[in-house]
Amino acid sequence: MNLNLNPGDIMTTPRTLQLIAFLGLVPLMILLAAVQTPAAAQDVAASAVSVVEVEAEDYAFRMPGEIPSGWTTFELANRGDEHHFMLIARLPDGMAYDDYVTDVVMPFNERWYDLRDGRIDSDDVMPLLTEDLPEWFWNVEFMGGPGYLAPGLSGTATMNLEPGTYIVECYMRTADGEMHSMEGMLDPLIVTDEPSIEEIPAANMRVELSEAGMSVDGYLEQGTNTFEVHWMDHPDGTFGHDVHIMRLEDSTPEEVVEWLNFLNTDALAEPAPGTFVGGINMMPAGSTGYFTADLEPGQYLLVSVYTGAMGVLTEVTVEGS
Amino acid sequence: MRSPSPECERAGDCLRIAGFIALCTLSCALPSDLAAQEGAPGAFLEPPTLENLSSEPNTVEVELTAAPARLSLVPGGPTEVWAYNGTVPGPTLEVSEGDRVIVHFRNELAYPTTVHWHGIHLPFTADGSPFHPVAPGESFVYEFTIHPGTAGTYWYHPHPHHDTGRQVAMGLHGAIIVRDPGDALPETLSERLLVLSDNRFDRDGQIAFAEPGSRQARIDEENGREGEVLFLNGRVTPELAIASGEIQRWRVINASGARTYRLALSGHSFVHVGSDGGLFEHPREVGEILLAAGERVELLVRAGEDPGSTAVLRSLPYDRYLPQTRPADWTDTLAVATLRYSDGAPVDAVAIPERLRSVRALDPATATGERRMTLTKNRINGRMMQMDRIDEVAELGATEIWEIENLVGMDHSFHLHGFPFQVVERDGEPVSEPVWKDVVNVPKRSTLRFVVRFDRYPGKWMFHCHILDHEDAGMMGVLEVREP
Repeated sequence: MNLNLNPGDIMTTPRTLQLIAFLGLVPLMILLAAVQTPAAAQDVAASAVSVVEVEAEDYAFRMPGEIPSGWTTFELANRGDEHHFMLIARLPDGMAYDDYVTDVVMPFNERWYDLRDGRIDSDDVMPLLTEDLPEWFWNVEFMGGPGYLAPGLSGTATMNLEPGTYIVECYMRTADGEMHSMEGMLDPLIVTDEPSIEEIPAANMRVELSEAGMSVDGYLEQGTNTFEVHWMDHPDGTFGHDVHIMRLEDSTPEEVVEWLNFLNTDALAEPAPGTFVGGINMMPAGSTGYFTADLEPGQYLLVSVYTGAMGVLTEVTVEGS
Repeated sequence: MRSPSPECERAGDCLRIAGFIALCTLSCALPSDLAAQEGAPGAFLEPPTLENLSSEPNTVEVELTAAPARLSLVPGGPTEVWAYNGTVPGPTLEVSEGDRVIVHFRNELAYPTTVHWHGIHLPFTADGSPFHPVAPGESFVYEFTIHPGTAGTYWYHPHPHHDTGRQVAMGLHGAIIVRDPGDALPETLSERLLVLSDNRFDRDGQIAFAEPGSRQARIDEENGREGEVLFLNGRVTPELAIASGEIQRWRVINASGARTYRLALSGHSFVHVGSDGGLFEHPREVGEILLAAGERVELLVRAGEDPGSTAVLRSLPYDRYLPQTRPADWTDTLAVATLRYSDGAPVDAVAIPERLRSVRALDPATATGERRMTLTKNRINGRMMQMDRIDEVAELGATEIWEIENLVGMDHSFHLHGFPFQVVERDGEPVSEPVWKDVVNVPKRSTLRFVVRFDRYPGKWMFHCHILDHEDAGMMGVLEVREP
């Protein structure tokens, strides 16, 4: 395995600097949402896992509407023709799925239309959203979920979920610029008081996400790898960390980061700059989550969508056996 | 002719128009230059019946022309419509089981069209599907036979690829009544045909469509285009007369492009006696009826015994929507019609038989195949309609189970051409009584299973969502039924 990317390498492009400038404008809200962490007291060793099978189609999830609480593994199979992911977020007490859709997703979508259709500049998006979004949004807890997956691939993510009302969402974009969540990939999920009963996965890789970057320890193997991911912090003024693995083919890490930047109007839509093979979405600081990815020999990029431009990314190689 | 108007862009505009209409419809005089629909606005009138030109027994031969027309539908008009034989709804095709039907159709529109005989079991070439468009100025003769056991309430409408919603909204739809000489319901029951539709108008009283790319267009794409003005047989909140104590037989057709009606009659229950494909085996008393786009019901309505009083036929709120695009006024209760009891003495009640007919149940155990249809936005099984692609192949004579899974957070109404089916399971719960359907509402995030037999007619048959904007956008596929 090679860890051969200097995070500073991608910090110097004008486009990246623009992104960093944007990140500097990102209000604290999302960070605040991320750091409110009931899962911070997760007791990894004593917990258990339940397995939830999910299929992603273009554009819908096939999944149960209610699951037990505790350690939970989501097995996401992408049956569609486009990349998908499954963001899981817990809503504040008293808030319902419909509230999230109408008060959060719709304003996001309207600002996205404004940006897509040239009515506002990218610099305007976050200040406007700050005005649009309700106070309770800052208490939404992003609780992971399987990361970006190319068509035909499967991956898992394992998190410790407390009882509550959650949403699951994919906001990749269609070729004509519609967020998948608006097309149907936005569902409610109830996590009940019933405890789950299985064990947490054993990991062969450890990833730490912090303001200092992404550290990766362990030995990558051809085949299925299990990553144990620790959120050490979330940098001020950012959305926070997540981690996704993409097989590097013809694209550079800089191009990947550009494609992941949702303020770019051609971002998050097919064609992707490479084949994403899994990952885990954002969790609160102090959390631990797990994901699996099947890796063939080759060069891969582990990248955080919202902090990749700050250097939270790493290039790795999987050797053939 | 003028193009359909995009001027009624915002729902608020249309609501204001609807309010205006509600205030003045009953008193507005017909403009003198109209080739107008007969009767005063507000009066309940059924569409005319197509004249049978044949003197042969068991033969119904009619002429039907689709053409532009100007009608008085709402204030501000006249409204330019597309009409069958000059009326909206079009004239009713009345036939009996065993009849041979010949329809001489002429397209005088500026666009290709078809006439789809919705729900009728007939040859592929007579189905009026997108495979057989009739060009502007051209004619086509539809010929088919009405099979025994198919008495019921059906309808006809255009089905050109990508243009069905617009053509239906412009006025092209009409009823079909298939009669059974041995109908178990008493002949003394007076019968009413209720064709429900809705529409949207601009300030000039012209039928309005959303501007492409507008917010309203996005909402229409998601929900299907709903109009704020509800029509019953082309009239706004008409008044139906009923004698006190009288029982009427209502045949109700949802000819709207997208709207689901949740019908209730204040102070009354309904006796639900039939669905898409005719009478049930047994009547059922219900408080309300859910009628998705394309569906039909037969109801018995019994008036109370208070001469001169009224009851309102309403459509109650029904949440079929994604929250992303749920209309702001979806919780409104909408008036459809007023039922007024005559002042005369109450009439004697008519006895309704407990058994209406025998419905041949299709046995799922005889199924030789099973198919799964997954519904997502504008897609079935992840694919959008392509005319040159066969999506499914079945053998003529085969019985199959179809599982329809709606994965998304809004309802879809699933329609199969040519072959009626019987729902046998909803979300894992068995459905006990066999009922003939050709459209079935699949509620959000739910699954149902039906059994169907591909009798008699090989060919290419459409299956699609009957929310017409969804169909037009590609939520449709092709089943080819082949000779063994």
